[in-house]
Amino acid sequence: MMAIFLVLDVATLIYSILFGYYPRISLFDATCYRILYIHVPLAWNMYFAFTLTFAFSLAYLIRRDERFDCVAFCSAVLGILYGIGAIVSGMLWAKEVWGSYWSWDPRQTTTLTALLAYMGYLALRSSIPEIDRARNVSSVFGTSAYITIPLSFVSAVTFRSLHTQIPQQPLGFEAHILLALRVATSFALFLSFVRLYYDRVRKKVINQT
Amino acid sequence: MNRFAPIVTLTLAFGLIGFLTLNSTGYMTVSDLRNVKEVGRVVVMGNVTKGSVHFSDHLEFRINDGIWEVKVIYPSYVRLDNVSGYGKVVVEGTYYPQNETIHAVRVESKCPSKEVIEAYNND
Repeated sequence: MMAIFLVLDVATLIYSILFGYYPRISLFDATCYRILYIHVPLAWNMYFAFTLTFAFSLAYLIRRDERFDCVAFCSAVLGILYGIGAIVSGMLWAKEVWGSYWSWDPRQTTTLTALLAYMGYLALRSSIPEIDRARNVSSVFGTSAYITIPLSFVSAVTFRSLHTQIPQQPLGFEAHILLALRVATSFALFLSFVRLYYDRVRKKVINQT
Repeated sequence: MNRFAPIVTLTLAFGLIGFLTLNSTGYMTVSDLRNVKEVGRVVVMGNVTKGSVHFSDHLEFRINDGIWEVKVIYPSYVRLDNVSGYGKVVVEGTYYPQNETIHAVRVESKCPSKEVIEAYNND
């Protein structure tokens, strides 16, 4: 199943990079609009990954089932990787359209804060040798750090920001369909990665105990 | 101690960090400058006034928010939307209230909106 999602994701990625719609405007190199087809799926998957971490951390604190903690951990690791991808692709867009790679814009800054918070989650977890305590502390941290995610999301909606939202973008029907396809395939691939990573971590934990 | 007390405390701490981040990175509007009475550093978001962009050895243009308008002088060059009147920019620099001018050190353009693209297509 994962191989199918991988092929679909790579196929839609290549198609969108080579043939994806972009609006005609002479202000800048408009082909850079195609970064959108990479940036948006990465960013949405990051938000979803940290939402999973939040939900499963909370579930662990309530049920004390170590499988929940395992999902939270795997999803946090993937969320950080997707988040780094989203920030880097966003910076490439920002250089072309805004004029600089980094502007300390509300969206950029709050997303970086969220990413640093979840890097703190991993650092904290790995610094505690006792496994049960590590699970407890990181679950508390993983639940609390989630507040940075809605803040990151609303930063460009309710605050004045250089970052626009999809409905404000000058994209036609064709672009929306392609973007939806990119989001769907990359989301399916993300879930496959979570599953794969979860199986590996669980196997390692079972072998250790 | 309630086992969820650390979550509440830590969430409040992260919330405060996020809130402070948002407040320290937010931009003023052009009409906020009406209340600025002394020379000082500002970071303002506004629309580039249609047809106001001129470049010789430095860049000069005007920004507005539909209520108030100020002049911007930038000693470098950046591509600006001079056509639509909807092109948003963020200007950082020193504001001189006596002549309503910002001497900018940073000018950045927002992603173009539907209105900007339409104006360029009709131009």
